[in-house]
Amino acid sequence: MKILEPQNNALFLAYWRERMRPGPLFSAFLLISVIVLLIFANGLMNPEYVYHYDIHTGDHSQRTLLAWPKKVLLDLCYLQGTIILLFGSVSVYRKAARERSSKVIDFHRCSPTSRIDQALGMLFGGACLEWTLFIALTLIEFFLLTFSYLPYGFFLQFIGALVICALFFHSLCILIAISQNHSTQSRVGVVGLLILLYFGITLFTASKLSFFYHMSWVPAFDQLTLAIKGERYHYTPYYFNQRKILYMFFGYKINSFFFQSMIQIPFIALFIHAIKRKISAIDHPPFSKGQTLLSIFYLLFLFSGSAISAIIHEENYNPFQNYHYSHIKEYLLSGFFYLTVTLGILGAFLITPDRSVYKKGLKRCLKLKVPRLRSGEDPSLNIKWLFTLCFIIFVNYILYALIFKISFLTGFLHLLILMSYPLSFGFLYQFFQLSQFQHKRLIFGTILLIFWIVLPIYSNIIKFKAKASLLYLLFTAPSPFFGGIIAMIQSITKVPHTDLKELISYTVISVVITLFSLGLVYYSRNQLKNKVLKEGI
Amino acid sequence: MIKINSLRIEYDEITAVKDLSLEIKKGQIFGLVGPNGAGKTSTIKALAGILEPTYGEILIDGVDLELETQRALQSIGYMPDFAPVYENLKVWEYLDVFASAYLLNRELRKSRIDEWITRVNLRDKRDTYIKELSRGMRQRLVLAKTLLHDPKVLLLDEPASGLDPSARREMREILKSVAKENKAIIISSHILTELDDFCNSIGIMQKGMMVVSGSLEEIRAKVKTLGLLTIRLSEKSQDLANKILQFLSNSKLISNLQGVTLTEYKMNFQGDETQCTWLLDQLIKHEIPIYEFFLERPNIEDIFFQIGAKEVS
Repeated sequence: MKILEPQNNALFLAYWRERMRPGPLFSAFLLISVIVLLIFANGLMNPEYVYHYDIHTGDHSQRTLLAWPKKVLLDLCYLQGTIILLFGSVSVYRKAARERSSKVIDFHRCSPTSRIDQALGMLFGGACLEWTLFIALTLIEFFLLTFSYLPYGFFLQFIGALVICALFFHSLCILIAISQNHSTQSRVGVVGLLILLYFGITLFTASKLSFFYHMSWVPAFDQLTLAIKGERYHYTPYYFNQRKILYMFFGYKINSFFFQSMIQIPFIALFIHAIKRKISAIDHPPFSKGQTLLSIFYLLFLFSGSAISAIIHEENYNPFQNYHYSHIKEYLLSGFFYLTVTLGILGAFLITPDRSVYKKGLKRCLKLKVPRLRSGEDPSLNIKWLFTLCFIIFVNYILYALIFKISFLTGFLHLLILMSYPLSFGFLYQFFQLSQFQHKRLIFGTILLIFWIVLPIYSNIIKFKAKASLLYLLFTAPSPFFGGIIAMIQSITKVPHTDLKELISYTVISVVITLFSLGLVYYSRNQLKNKVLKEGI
Repeated sequence: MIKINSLRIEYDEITAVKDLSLEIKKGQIFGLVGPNGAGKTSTIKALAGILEPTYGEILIDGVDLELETQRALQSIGYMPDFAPVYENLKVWEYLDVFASAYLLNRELRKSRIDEWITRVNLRDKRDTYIKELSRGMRQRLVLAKTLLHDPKVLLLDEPASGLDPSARREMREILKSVAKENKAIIISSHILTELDDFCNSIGIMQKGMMVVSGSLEEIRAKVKTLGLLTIRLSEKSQDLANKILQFLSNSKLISNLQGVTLTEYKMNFQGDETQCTWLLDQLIKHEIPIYEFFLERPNIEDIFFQIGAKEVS
């Protein structure tokens, strides 16, 4: 692997030479030196106190002085995180976007350098200046650590967590950048990316589920602050309980660094693989069908691990299972249902081949005289993928059905509704992609907006005479956000249970929509197939 | 060196290349000619491994491009019409980046960079940033990058596109020197007269199909292109004029005969070199005092237009 000898890695070399010239390097070091000096000055001149909260007495007047090396160390670590996560992500994104827009990537694509070297060159080269500053700050922090009389272990864990987190965000940024064409590049841009990465992650962490929490950079800093400021620096009883859940997986407490690695490293590998795929064939989807299914399964597994931890904790903490427990139950079930539907729809969107790719596959079949392409190949339709997804949904749902003791009939109806959303979207999207309007995504987007958002909101605003009227059901059922899923959640959490009639009505409508969509796919596929056969090879 | 079997490239509803089969041997300089949208660039991109064909087999030096991509790419040098560069790198740095991309070791990289910077006349610009180079210089730089690893196969897509006449001339001179190095070269160009100088074979593409291909002589024979024959006489008389006009108008090889003056005659000649010699011999036997006998052969442009006209009709 050429990344072990960066002087021979073409992409790393190009970025290194551009970014490590004396001018920019000197400016960056000068700026960072000034900030570091200010941090030191602030640490020495403004003493900081840590207030301790006593859970038993409620007293929070006790305070201890935080030694200046500890204060400086903490501030330096925040600076280090900002450099590598924020500026590093922007740098790699911009470099990768330029590779695509300037078409220099074509030269790398037709060079004999292996794809993994190219992907790693982009990953480490794009932010080489930020990595250099990161290493320089780490050395200063080690120096401070010896003054602070703090153990090295937690600090090494923090650095490790930061490195993994940086690689996770950097690889994601590269993938987004090289997947964009000119039109989407101008629309998304760096600002959009920052919003996605930083504010989006904050929203994720607000959910207080261990899996979402460990997908962000927050645990690394929480652990560091905890180690520097002490065990109980600002805990309220509620927060204390939440913290325990944040490090639990299927009820077992897991070390933060290990937990983060377990979540982020597989995705770093997936993103690097996707970058390789994109370099090899720019028009292909970033993930193969198998990878998408595996990722969805893994994400649902991670979510279940977190959700079950919360349930186990709640059962121990709140053995009477009162309103609070019901609220947690509703929250986790909604999370599972919405996550399943979102992942299914997103997956179907990513893997569904377009008209030209499908035609290309058909012509290949005709030329090679094989009846069909392997279902795992990109040019094949998404039908097998969607049914495999249904199996994954079924397996995951069983876990929740057992925990919440859902009856067989209700569970069956739930599964049908839950599966219908990715299925109907996948079929309709495939129908659209096989049509001649495939490039007019605005049409498809508008149709979805009407059926998923506008009509359900309208039906809720005008309030039909009877809430379970046929018109209300018809208006809300196609939407994955309203209607069916809300009825599913209510059927479990509401006391007394929602009338099964409403759930059955939603199921019937969902199944009809799904079958209708399937019919459309078969119709468009046969039309295209006949066209190709008529054209011949 | 390059073998293409049944190559087909489709973009949605458009078929860019329709079942193209072609073989280019070592030392062959193949000019790919055709109007815009004929499929030249798609063919070259597929050969360079940048574009995935719908189907078809591409062998580079006997290596299947689809099955052993990295090995096949080692033998290829690709230059597009518009030179993609890293604006903030210096000339030598850019070459060094791609020398490492082509897996050259550090010592070899240095010597090759020096050699090619000199050959493309950029020695003075060695330490200049690319953003400061003119379009012509950039094209030469990309040509140096293309040749740096001494590829066996060169794919040049409109290498002189957008250059001014002097830059174009410089580029042509460099390409002529490269052409002597016994490589298999595919070069596409709109400026057909440019290809005449160094191509020893051509292929004319239209609507994704290779209309005709082969050496210039083979193509002339295949398409029966017309040469312009000029005959000048050393004596000036009306009798002689009548005699030559009568003789030539009876020949099936001659058409569009025109007497410019009493001593000068121009006509289209459709025949090979043997027939041309035979005609001269006959004129001498008929005691016609020949002062000048000159057959102007059609160039690529003439052939292209002739074939193009046929295709359109």
